[in-house]
Formats: sequence, structure tokens, C-alpha cells
Amino acid sequence: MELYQGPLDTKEIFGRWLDEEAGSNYGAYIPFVGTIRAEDGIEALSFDIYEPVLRRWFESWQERAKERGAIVKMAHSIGDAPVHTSSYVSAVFSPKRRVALELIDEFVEDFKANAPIWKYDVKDGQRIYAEDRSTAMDGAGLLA
Amino acid sequence: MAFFGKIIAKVSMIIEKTFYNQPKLESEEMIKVEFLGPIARPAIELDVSDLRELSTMLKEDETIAPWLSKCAVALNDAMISELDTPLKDGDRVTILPPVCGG
Repeated sequence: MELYQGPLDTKEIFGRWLDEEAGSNYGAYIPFVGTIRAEDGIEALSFDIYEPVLRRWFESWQERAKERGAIVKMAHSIGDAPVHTSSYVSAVFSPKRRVALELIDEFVEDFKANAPIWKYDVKDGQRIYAEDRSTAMDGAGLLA
Repeated sequence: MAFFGKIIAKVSMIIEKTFYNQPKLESEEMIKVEFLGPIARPAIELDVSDLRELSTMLKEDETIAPWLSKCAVALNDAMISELDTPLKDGDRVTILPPVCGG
């Protein structure tokens, strides 16, 4: 798992991941790129990350992937990423395509629901919490 | 005079050891509570012994209370789902509001 200040260099990351697994005998490599769209007058998105819980979340996914003979990788931005750049990339490598296709779906969806990352719209230099697009994590409301 | 001085120093040392260095009878369970992302509140330290007690205290804070129904909770960076989880001195509880990565 890789965290970067600002937008991601997606070509470098995907190229390097490809090189890293060149000799691993995986038959399928499925990358996912999240690109920031220009909408609602935003200049950028901005992110806060709680790294200790994110690492544990990612390690649990690495275990789940391993049980199916696969591996997962991801990279995310911290701070501002302007529109038309990428703030999130992930990938699955697996021996055959079926597992990789299923895993990338499950992994990206659970990432959206449970990775401890907070998103803000950046408008006129102000950070505004993207409350209406955010999801309460599993187990939310314990202290209510 | 130096002799008396030594005796006085010795006696005061014994008094100090006897009366001031006793372990506290009631142990204080100081835990740290951190609020992440948009909650934008500095961490606080509280004397509570379990999550139920923590919940009661946080509900009394009018800026924190509205967040509680949608926040998940981690104890020393592990996500937890049991309200009866005991807390011990030095524990760190983290309050995680709704997320949106990517």
C-alpha cells in the first residue's frame, strides 16, 4: 500500500507493479483508476487518511486475496488532488481472470465503504467535507 | 549541629516515603479519545472504564453528540463492535466519521 502527498503518478505506479509481478506467474492483472471529475465547480478533491486503521484494513484484504491465490495493491493521495488527476489506484493480480475480476469489484466497493479516508471538495480554496457522498463504516453508531 | 541536621533529613525522608509515595487506592483509567477527519476536534483525555461510560460522556458534548450515530470506533487502532469492551489506562479510542476514499 502506497500513500502520496498530492495526485498519483498512475503510469509510474502501474508500470512498476507490472514489473514487480513480472516473474510471479499471474495470468491476470486488473488495474482500477479513480480519476477526479470536474463537477459542481470543484478545483480539486482533498483527503485525510488515518493510516494505522487503513493499513490493518488493507492487510485483511491481502489475506482474503491470498486465500484465492491473488494479491491486491493500492495507492492513494493525501491532501489535494486537482480535477482530471488520479487520487486512487488499485489492482488485483491472480492466476486466472475470474478471481481478479471478482476481487477488484469486492475490493474497490469495500474500499469505498470501510477505508478510513475522508474526502473534501475544494472550492475557492476552501475544504468542504463531502458528507452526502460519505458512508458510515461497518459498526457505526456503537456509541450512540 | 550537623548530626541533628542529618537526623532531620533522615526523618523527613521516612515521612515522605511513608505518606507521600503510597500507591493511589483508586486507580485512574485515563484513556485518550481522538476525533478524525471532519469532526475537527483535538483529542481529549477521560477517566472512564468502558465504552458504555465513554458513550454517556460523549453524548453530553453537544458538538460530538450529533456525530455518534454515524461514527465507527477503533480501540488502539483495531475496529470494535462491542459496547462492553473494557478500557484500561493508556488506551486510545478513535472516533471515525463516514468515509469516502477514492
